[in-house]
Amino acid sequence: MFPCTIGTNAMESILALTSDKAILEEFRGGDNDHAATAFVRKYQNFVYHTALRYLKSEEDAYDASQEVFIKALKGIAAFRAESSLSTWLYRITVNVCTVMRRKDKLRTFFGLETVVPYARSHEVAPDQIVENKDFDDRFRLILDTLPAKQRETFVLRYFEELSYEEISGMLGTSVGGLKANYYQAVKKIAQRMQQGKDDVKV
Amino acid sequence: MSKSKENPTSILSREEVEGSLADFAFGQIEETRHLAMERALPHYPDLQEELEQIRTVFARFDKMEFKADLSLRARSLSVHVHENLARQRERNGMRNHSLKRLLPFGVFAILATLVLPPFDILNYFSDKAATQVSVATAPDRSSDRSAQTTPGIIDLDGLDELIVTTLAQDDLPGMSRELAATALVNGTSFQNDILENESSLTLFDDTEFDDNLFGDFASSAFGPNSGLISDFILPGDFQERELQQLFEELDGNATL
Repeated sequence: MFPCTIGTNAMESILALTSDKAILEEFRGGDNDHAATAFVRKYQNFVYHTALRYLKSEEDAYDASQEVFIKALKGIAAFRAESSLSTWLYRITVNVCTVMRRKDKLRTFFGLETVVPYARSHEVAPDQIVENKDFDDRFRLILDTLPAKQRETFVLRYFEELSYEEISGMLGTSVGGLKANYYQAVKKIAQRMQQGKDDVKV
Repeated sequence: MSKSKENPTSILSREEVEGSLADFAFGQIEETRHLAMERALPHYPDLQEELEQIRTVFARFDKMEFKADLSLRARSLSVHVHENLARQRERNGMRNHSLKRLLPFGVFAILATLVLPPFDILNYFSDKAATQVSVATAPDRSSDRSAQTTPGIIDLDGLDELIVTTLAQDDLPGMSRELAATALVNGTSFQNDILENESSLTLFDDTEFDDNLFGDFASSAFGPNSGLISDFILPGDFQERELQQLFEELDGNATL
């Protein structure tokens, strides 16, 4: 019935599992390890990037991603496919990140740990930003300064190339509202990037 | 969305153009919408300028490289997820294994707690003090005989009834129900009385019938009719009076 019967090379069959439907059928077929590998490989970047945007720390994002996949793999048998796997995973990721952020806040409040946000590793003084020629770093910094809804909409649409309907399912915003957010995000990024470039010239 | 409703001749509103501007700039738009945008943009010069700016800035940006840079760390995720899952399964397995081993003991302990107390009447006697405490703290049960008995707690009313019934069946003398209950409540040596009476009856039953022995036993202080015999024999004035009467009769005869 499915790629596990294609050949002896397990990796081949894992790579062949690309669609959500195929992954879910593999899970129902009983080959859980096989399906789990395909599932994690397909969504690891998506989950990690989402966690990184929320937690602003690579280490925390990595830990959160692991937790997200463990939760997802434990609950995938009960997944009823009423939404897409990406929407379901996004919700789990946001929940896990929210809990982690709350814990971090508590730890910081009680002085147990100093949280070094991801953005801070790229955070430099404004004059240094101007001097910084690294386009990606500036881009990332500008992305971090966007309002959360605009940033999420931009990343999910531009990088993850999800449809407005899928993003709407994840963020709970109407398609019209998402289009407006996306336009505002792209406009701000373009303006600020242009502004930085002009500042360098001056 | 109005994909099929798209009128090829109508001009999109400003709001509609703004909503599709980013997708138009990045080529993430359907063909019909693309055509509609091309027609509408000349009507909004400021939006056209914005479009140029967006295209210029994002042309320098390599989306794939940016994503790849971010994704470097995420590459080993599947391995770590599998390791964590295996560790959790192992832990759960160990927990289930210990649970399986301990479960029978637990079930036995619960059953023992629930089932054994009703048969544990004999222990009641050896723990008289505890019973007295429970009697002292219990509500007046004599007024509520129909009250349900909690499992595991000895019902005093039921117990004294049982004992008194046993006494009646054994035909032991001089022990009323009230007396038995009083003896129990007051903590007298009621148990010893029962045992003593029972042993004497057993002695009587087991002994071969013998007039002399029976007479001895009946006249003894332990015999069941000891009171009657002593009533007949013991009063000394009765013998005296009888003798005097005999002497008087003899004297009279002698006088006559």
